[in-house]
Amino acid sequence: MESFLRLLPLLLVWLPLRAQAATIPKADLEGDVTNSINGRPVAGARIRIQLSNREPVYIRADEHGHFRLADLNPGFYDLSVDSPGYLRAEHVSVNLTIPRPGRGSGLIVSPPPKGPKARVTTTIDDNGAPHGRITVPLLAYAAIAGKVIDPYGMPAAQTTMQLLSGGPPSMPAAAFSSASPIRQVGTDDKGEYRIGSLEPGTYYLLASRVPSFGIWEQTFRPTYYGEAVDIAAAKRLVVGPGDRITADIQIVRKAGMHVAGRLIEPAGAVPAGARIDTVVTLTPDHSRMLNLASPFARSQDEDYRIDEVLPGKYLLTAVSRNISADPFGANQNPIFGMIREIEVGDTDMDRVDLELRPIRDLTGRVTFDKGCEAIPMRVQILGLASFTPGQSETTTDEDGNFVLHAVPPGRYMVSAYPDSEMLRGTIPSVISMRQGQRDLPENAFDAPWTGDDPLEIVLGCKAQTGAPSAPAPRRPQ
Amino acid sequence: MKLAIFLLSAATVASAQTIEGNVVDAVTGAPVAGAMVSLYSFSPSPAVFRTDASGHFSLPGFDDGSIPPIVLSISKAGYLQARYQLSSKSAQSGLQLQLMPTAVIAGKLSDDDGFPVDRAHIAALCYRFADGVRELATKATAESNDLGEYRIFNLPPGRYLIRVSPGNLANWDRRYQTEYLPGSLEPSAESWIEVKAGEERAGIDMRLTRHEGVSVEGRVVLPPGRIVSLSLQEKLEGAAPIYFGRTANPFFHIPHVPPGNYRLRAQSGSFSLRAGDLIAEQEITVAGADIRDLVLNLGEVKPMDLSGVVAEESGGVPPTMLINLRTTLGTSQTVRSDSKGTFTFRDLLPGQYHLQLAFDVTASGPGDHAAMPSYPISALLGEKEVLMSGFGLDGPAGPLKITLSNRLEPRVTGNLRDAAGQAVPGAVVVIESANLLARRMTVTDTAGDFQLYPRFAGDYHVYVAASLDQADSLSDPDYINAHRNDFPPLRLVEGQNPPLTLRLPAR
Repeated sequence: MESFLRLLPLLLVWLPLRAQAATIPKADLEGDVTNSINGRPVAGARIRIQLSNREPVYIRADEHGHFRLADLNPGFYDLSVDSPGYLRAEHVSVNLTIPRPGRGSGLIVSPPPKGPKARVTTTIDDNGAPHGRITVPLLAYAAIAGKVIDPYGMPAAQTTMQLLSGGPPSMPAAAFSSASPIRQVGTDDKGEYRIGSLEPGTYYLLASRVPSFGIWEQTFRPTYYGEAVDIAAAKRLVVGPGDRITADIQIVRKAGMHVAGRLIEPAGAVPAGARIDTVVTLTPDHSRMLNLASPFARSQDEDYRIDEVLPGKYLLTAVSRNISADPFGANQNPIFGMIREIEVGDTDMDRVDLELRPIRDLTGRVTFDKGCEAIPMRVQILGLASFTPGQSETTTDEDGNFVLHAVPPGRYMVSAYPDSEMLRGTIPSVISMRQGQRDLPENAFDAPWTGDDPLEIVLGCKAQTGAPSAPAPRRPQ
Repeated sequence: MKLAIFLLSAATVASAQTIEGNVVDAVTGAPVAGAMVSLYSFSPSPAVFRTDASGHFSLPGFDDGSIPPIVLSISKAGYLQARYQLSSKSAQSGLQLQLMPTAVIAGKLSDDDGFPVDRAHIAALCYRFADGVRELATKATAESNDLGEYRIFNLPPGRYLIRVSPGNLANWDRRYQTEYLPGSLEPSAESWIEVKAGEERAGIDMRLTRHEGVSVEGRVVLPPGRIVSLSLQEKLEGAAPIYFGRTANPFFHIPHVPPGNYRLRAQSGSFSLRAGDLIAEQEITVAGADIRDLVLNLGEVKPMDLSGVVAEESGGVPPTMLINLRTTLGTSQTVRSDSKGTFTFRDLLPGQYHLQLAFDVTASGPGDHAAMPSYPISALLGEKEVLMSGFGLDGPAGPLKITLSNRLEPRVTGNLRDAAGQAVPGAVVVIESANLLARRMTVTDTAGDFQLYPRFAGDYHVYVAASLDQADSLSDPDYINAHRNDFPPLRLVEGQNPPLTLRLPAR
C-alpha cells in the first residue's frame, strides 16, 4: 500500500502522457566533434548525453568525428564529450524540447559554461519533432613534464610540485605567491613528474618538500622554475593548446642565519611539575599560505633556536602547551605564547628573547553607526599565519557583546556578518575596528595582546551586494 | 642541539674516535655514493654527511670515546631509509652498513574504450600488524597521469595486492568501479605481485571495465525540512564511498552497485557527528539482484557516558592513570582515574574508539608509579578485550575494566649473526605468541644486539626480517606460517631470561 501511494503521483503524470504517446514526436541529435584550434574532426571521441536525472546514454563518434542519436525523448539534455589529449567538454546544455503552442520555436542557442563554445541549433519540423544539430570543439590540453634534481645533482624523489597561476605578465609576481596551487603532483623515485590535462595559460612551478630528516637538508629551499627561491625571480611557463613543455628544476641550496633566544614564561602561569612544550614558527611575510617555507623549532627548555633562516620579514609566533597535562594531546591547549614581526638580515640573531604571555579570552562589542538598526552579528576570526588554528566564531548578545574563548597565539583577521540567514545579502560595512586607542589595520589583530581593552567594532548599514564574506579591508590613513 | 654543534666543530679537532665506514647496496654489495648519513644523538636536528664516490663516510666521534645513544640514518632515493643504532660494543670504524634497494611496480591503465585513465588512484596493499590484529593496509599509492601511466615506488621487497580506484573516470561513467589486478571486482591470487629488492616491474597494465551492478533503492524516513547526507560505502579499509549525496528528498536510487558488503548511512548535519544529529545506518549485502524498498529510520545521536575502573592485579592501590579515547576522526577525550581507580567519560558520541593509557606523571600519592612498576595487561569492555583493538560504541556500554599488573615483565636480550658469524645490524626481530597482545618487535644495533620485553610469560615463535621497512612481511599470515620454524621456539619466564643467540640460515 505504501509503495502504491508513493507511485501515485508518478502514475497521475504517466497516464496522460501515455494517452498521448502515439502523438508525441521523438527528437534526434546529430553532431560533430572538432579540434577547436584547426577545426579538424576528432575521430572516435566519446559522447555522454543525459536527460535530467535519467541514466546517461553513451556513444562514440565515427572516424570523421560524427555522431547521431535518434529516437530521443524530448527534453533538456546535458552533453559531455571526451577524447584523449583534449580537455573534456562538460555540461553543454542541448534543448530538444517541444515548443508549447503559442510560444516561439526554431533556433535555440545554449552556450556551454566554459571552454570553446559548442554551437547548438534546434529546429522543429512540421510534425513538431525537434532536430538538434551540434558542433563540439575540443581544446587540446597542454602538459608540463620534467625532472627535479637536488643540489648534489641526484634525483629529488617525492618532491611536491605545485603549479601556480602566472596571471597576466603585467601583474606583480608577489600577487601569486600566496594563492593556492592550481594543481599538485609529486615526483617519482627518478625525480620525474608530469602534469597533464592543463588549460593553456601562464604558470609558475614550485618544487618543495616538507623538511624531512635524511632526505631534504635544511639549506635546500623551495625552488621555482628558473632556479629561483623568490617568486619575483622565477620564470613563467607559457603553454599553448596541445603544447608539451619540459621544465626541469634543480633545487637551490642556500645557507641562512639562525634566530635564537630565551623563552621567558609568565610568572606564576606554569603549574607545578608541568612540562611545557613551545613551538616557535617564522612565517614568511610573502607566503603565509605556503607552510612549506616556514622554519620552526620546538623547545622544552628555556631557550630556542631556529637554524638556516633566509633573510626577510617574518611573523614570529610562539605557542606553549602543557604537555604533561595529557600525553595524548586531547587537553593540550595553548596556555601562553607571543607574536611579533621580525626582520632577519645577514647576521645571526642570538638575543631574540620571547616574553610569553598567558592566553586570554577576546571580549568585544559590535556597535552600529547612527541610524542603523542593530542586529545580532556573527563574529569570526580567521588565522592568517601558518600553524595557527583555522577559525573560530561566536555570536553577539542583545547588547552587541561577544567573547571568543582562549584565542591561541596568531594573527587573525576579524569579520562580522549578520547571524540570520535572511540578512546575509546585506553585509554591514566596517567603519572602524579598534582595540583601546589602537586602530587595527586590515581588520587584523594579534593574539595574545597587551592591555585589557576589548575589541570595538563599529559597523555601518550601507548594503553591499554579493556573497557574504569578510568586510573589505581598511588601510590606516 | 648543543651536542650536534659540538660534533660538527669537533671535526676540525683531531678527534679521539671517528665513526667511519662504508655504505653498500644490500643486493649487489656495490658501494652507494651520495647517500645521506644523518647522525641523531640528543639533538632533534641531525648532523648531515654524504658518502663519497666509494661509498665511504666519516663522522667526528667523541673526545672520550664514549658512545651516547646514537642513531645513524642513511637514505638515498631508490633505497629504503635505514636506521642503525650504534652499539658501544662494536667497533666504530670499518662499519659495513647496507641499504636495501626498493622495488617499483609500474604500468598503464586504460578503460573499456581504450582511452588512458587519468588521475586514477592505485594502491599497493600489504599486511600490517596494528591494534592487535593483522590487517591489509595501504603501503604505497600512486596517481596515474594523463597518459594512464602510474609508478608505485619505494616498495620494500615483498608481495602486494594492487587495487585501482577509477577516480576521474567514475565521474564520466559510474559503471567504472574499484578493481583489483588483473581486472576484477574481488581480489584473487592474480591480484598479488611479488617484487624482489631493487626489482622494477614495468608493464603491469590493466584495463578497467564497466560493471552494470544492481540498483539499491529505498527511502529515508525524513522529517520535513531536514536534509541528509546519504552514503554507500564498501566495508573495506580505505574504500571510497561508491555513492555520496546530500538531499531533502526521502527517496534514493543508487545505480550500478557491484556485489559486496556495504554500509548505507544517512546523516543530518556536518561530516563530524554531533549530539542531536539524525543518523541511520544499515549494512547491506549486494549480490545479483536489485535491492528495493529499503527503509532507513533516523535516530537522534545521543551522547552517553562510559564509566570504568582501574585495578591492580595484586589488589593494591592503583596509580593515577590518564585514560584516553580517540575516534577515527581524531577527536579525543582524556580522563584521570581517582584514588579508587574509577573514571567516567562524559558525552561520548557513537563511533569507533581507540584506547590509550598512561601513568599520570604529575600525580603523587599512594599510587606512585615509579615505586611500583605496574603496567596495563588487559582492558575489558563487557566480555571483550579492547586494550589493543579498541571498540565500537553504539549505545550504553560498560563498565570498562582496566587491569594493571606488577608482575615482572619477561625480559630477554639477544644477538643476531649471519651464517658467517658476522653481527647483523638493523634487522627486525619479532617474537609472537598465541596471545597477540604480547607480540613484540625490536631492531638490532650495530653489534647485532637486541632486547625484548613482552607482556606475558609463555611460548613464543621468533621471526627475523632484514630491515624495519620489511617488517610488514612479518604481518603476512602466509609468511608467518612458512617461517614458523626458522628459529627454535622460545619459552619465556617472568623476569630475566637467558640470552638468546640467533643465527640466520645461509642464503
